[in-house]
Amino acid sequence: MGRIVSLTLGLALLAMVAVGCGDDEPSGPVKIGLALELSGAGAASGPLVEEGIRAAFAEVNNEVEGRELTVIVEDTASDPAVSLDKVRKLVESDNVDLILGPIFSNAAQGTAPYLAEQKIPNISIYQHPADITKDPYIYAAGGTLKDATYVLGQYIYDELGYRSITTLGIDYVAGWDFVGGVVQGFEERGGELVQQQWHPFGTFDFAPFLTTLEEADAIVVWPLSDAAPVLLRQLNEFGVDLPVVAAWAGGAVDEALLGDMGETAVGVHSVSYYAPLIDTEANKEWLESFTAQTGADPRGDGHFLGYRTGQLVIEALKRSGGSTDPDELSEAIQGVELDTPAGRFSFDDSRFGRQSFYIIKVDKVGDEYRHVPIREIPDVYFGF
Amino acid sequence: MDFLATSLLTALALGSVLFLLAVGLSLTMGLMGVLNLAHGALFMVGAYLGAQVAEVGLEFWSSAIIGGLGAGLVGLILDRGVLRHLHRRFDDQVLVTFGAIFILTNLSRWIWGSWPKIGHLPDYLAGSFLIGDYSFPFHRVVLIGVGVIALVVVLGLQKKTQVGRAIRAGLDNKEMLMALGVRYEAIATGVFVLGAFLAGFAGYIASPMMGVSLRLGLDALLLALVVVIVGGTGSVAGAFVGAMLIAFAHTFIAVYYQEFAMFGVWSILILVLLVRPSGLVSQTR
Repeated sequence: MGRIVSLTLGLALLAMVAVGCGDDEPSGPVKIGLALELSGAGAASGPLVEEGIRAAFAEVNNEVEGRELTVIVEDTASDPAVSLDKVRKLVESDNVDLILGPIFSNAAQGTAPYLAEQKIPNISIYQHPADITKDPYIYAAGGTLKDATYVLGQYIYDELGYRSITTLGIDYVAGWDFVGGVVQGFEERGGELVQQQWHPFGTFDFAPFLTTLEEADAIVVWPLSDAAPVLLRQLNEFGVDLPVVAAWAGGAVDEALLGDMGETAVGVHSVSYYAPLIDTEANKEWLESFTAQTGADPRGDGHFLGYRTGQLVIEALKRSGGSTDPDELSEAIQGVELDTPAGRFSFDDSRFGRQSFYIIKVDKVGDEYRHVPIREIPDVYFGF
Repeated sequence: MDFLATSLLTALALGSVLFLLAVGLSLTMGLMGVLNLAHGALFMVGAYLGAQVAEVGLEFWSSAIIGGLGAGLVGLILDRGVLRHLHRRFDDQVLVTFGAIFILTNLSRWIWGSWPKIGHLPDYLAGSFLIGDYSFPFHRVVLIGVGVIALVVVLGLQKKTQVGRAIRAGLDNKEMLMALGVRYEAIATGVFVLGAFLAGFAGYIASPMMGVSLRLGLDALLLALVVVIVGGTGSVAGAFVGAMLIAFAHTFIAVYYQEFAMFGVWSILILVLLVRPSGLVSQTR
């Protein structure tokens, strides 16, 4: 009797140990959690990013270093509280090894500290505020919010000859920093900031802001995608004939939304990670293979950025030999360098990405409205 | 002076939209004692449906009517299919109609995607005219006109028709009305559907000003509730007074202190609840 009990106990103990060790075995799947804005104000980008990530993984048959890449997607609903809930779920219920996203900065400000505490590496996709890497394990591949828009601010002074600007941005951290970056670059060149206005989330009627607009050479806006078509039309309706600069293309003049905006968006200058119309062999090849693989015809930078993020993950796993130990994986991520259709990518020591940005102008190409890339500005990272 | 004029016109336009949105909710709450939280979602459904048919080339007003009819149909399903079984079960009505918001929002997302849409304006509505130094969109003036017509029509229905009289009587004493052989349930449903139609219609005609997005379901609901509570339930005049008051507060505060516009609106709500809780134009109960 005693021997049967101890044998059973021994077997049970062995079984528990085996199960407990199972997750650490380097031959199990790599679980990658995607916390993306699939609905709400960020819904213009989330689904494209997901498609890009999956395409990159599919290219390597969803396998790296003998381990299967498993993707678990959750919708953050473009809400910071929901984002944190979903990330918690991915970590605590789904036991992911790595989190990609969320896209929104106010959400990331909540999820980054949590993930650092849980020791789950987190690669972000789009830009974030400059202090996001104060927590470890976060790799802000998209750079800081001000990096790209700073060079746009310089461009509009140098090349477009504007000397004074008035701004109208959405009232949260991404609005402040996107517009703030333009203002910083512009003022450092000697330009004058005449007026700053901030509109609350959910504003659809911009009349109060447009009727109090002051005289300037140009207006800099950033309203988020769902209000952008309405804002551009209302600029017209209220007789605002200033040239329009969109502080950041995504969320103001998303290429995929240009069809709806039509003529109201033509002539708007902005800055982006990528434009499908980038005229290089590398880009044309990538577009061809991406379209063949997914059937999607990319507009804007969502697909590209998703694909690049997927490639980042693959390269990092190759470098770590398939290890998903948080520290080993983090070190591997830090060292990744990529040659992408939109230029070279690498991580700065600060764990922010260094990459090219493209000044673009909205114009009619054929019978479609597109982002026409005007200038590439490589190796951008300032850290403010 | 011109600046005041443009703000005044903007406030009147917003007030018209809010009136169309809220009148159905007000009558339903007063008449049937039913709180339909999905009312804002009906506004959204009208906007999406109208935008959809406009995209395939249908004319502006026809698109608005289609939007209204679609919202009316959803309203009919909601009333006959669900709410009639929840007579007097107030908590359940709140839960069910709140759930309906998410169902409708996600259905809209499923059909039309997460992209916002933009309302299409025909050329004769798309221009602007000058008020002194300021340019003002013509379409907003048209909204004011629609609001006035709607007010006259609905008030006329209420005061001059048999049905209107029945509604007013029902607000006072439903049981007596039914005892007199009036088909109260049918009238109540009719009011619900009419309110839904007006909300959907408003959703589309207001879309150049408010956009067509999934956010409308909740945003419109909040505004509608404030208007109804401030104006008083069960009253067309109340819905109108409430709509104008809220629209003016929102517009004029937004001009000077943009961040405080909603704060101002909610403050009015609190004030009314403290001082005159049955609403500004209330039926004595």
